[in-house]
Amino acid sequence: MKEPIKILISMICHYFEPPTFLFYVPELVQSLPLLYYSHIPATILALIIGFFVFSNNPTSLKNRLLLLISLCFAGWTVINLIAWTNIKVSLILTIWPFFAIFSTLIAILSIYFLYAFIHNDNELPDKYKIALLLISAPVFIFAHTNLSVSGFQISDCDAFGFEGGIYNAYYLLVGILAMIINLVMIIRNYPKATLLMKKEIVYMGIGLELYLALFFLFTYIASYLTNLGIVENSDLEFYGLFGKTIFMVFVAIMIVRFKAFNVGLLASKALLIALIILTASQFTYIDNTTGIVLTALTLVITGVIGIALLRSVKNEIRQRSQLEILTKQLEKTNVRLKELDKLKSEFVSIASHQLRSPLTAIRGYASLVLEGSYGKIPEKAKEAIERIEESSKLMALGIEDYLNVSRIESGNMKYIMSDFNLRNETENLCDDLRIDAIKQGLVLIFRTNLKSKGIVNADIGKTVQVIQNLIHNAIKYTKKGSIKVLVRDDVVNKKIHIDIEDTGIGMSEKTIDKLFQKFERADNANSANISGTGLGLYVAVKMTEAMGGSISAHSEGDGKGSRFTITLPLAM
Amino acid sequence: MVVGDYTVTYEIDCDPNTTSCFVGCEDEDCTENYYYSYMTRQAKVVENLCGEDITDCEAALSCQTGEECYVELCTGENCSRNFEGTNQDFN
Repeated sequence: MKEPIKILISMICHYFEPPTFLFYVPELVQSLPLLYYSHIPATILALIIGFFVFSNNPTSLKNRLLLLISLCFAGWTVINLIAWTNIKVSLILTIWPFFAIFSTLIAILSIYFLYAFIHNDNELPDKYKIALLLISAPVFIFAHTNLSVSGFQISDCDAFGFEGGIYNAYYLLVGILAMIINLVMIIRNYPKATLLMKKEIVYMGIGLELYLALFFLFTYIASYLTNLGIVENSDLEFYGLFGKTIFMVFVAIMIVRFKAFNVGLLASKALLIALIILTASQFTYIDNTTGIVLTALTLVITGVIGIALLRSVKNEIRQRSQLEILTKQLEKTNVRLKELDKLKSEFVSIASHQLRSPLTAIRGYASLVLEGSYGKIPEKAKEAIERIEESSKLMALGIEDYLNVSRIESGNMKYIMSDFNLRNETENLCDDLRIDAIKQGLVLIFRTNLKSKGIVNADIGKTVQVIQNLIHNAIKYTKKGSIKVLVRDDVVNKKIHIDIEDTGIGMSEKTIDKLFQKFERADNANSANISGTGLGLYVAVKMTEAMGGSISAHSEGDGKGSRFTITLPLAM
Repeated sequence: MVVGDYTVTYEIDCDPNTTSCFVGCEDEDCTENYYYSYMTRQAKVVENLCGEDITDCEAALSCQTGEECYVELCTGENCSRNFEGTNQDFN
């Protein structure tokens, strides 16, 4: 490869008269109307949308990238227009390499843009940026060397016959690579996206891929066929520019329909009107049949899409205002509900405290009487006092549940987290509760299947309370048979489970679904004459969740027993 | 930035009686033909000989002694006569 020698050569070709305003040649307006039609509106459209989106939120990465793509596209169309309309060899040859530079920039920026669009304006990771830079670097480095373009055909006033084949193929490959990467990005991210984002990805994906496909393929094919002499000139490439217009129409649809790029509704209407005016304005300078037909067609298409979109905008505005009214009403109702809920919790708390104090006295004195502190009592009276003690105990538990609910809902429940051995605590608890089980004629079995030491980080008091609640329930709801408590762990997932399985009254699927809600009890609990507030499981679940765990319930159906599983994270 | 060492190609007059020339039409109906071949040479040489406009420049039609210069004759169909010999290389 020879080193370029910097000299000024300004030979001219005599294809037509030199242009005015850099690219206006009256002769070409007549003979090549598609040249002006495809370049000027496409460039203005790209710039309007690029700057429009950017001005709405200049800090947004995707908005900035869309503007950059638009600028590169505008750059490409302007140099193409200059190349087609000028006759100075030096000027044409100087700008010729910029076709490759702008095309490559469009390709790599499209990847960057799509990434930012799909990933909520996040930056492309540095390693990918470096990869894109490395891929595109040869195009920039060799742009103004003979590898890119080595000569000029004065007779045809172009350089197609002197374009480097390898260089041309390379930047076409960059374009194809961009299309493939974008397609992969779309396919990979579509399933994970929200419903709205899915629609946006489809619109953006179709628009961007069509743009790249039309732009790169038409440009390359036009150049290739001209080079081979199969077509007279490369005006086939004009059709490729419609790809950008299609992309911008998709972007405009997204702006209006999905409020993409954070553009407001009124601004969207203004944009549509601007597009229609822009299209219609071409009638003022196009005076040949092809141009008029093309402009009229575009105007009709833009008009139809515009009207449809404006209707959609109107509907959206109406729905939005209705939604705003409803939201305000809902907000007021919510505030009132929160006040009422707070009042309720305060009331429950005060009432529970006031109830608990006399109950403590009742239980204490009943216990003292039973122990004989006030002298020997008759057997009949003993039985009655035992009932008083038992009932007051149940009532105290119920009040404790109410108090817990009140604390949970007011956010006043305190958890003191520490590491402790859950296996030991559960075993001790089973030892304590075994007496209650035996009293009911039941067997309480404790088993372990642990690979770890069974250490958890949780509030020891509350954890014991939750396990106790579930074992109590198992005893309460089981008339005969056994209760098995199994402590097992899952070291891989760092979890520990406590299964409490009984042979009691069981539950239907419908009951399981609502079991952990407030004031909910098993459907067959009342028929089995079992007392309870319906708050125990609710409190147990809330406490467990606050400690990073969960509770699940399982039963084969009524009369087939139940299994409750408490899961807590292992402290490793 | 200007690439300075590029070549230019342009049409030069060609004698259809002695050479295989490309055939062009003078008008749309192709009632009259003109004959040409292509000359390819270094742009800076042509610039030095003819200035910016090679039209009516005699020096543009022939190669200088020792100059890298290449004349492409018609080798395909629709030539003024069957191709005879090779394209002329004036290195």
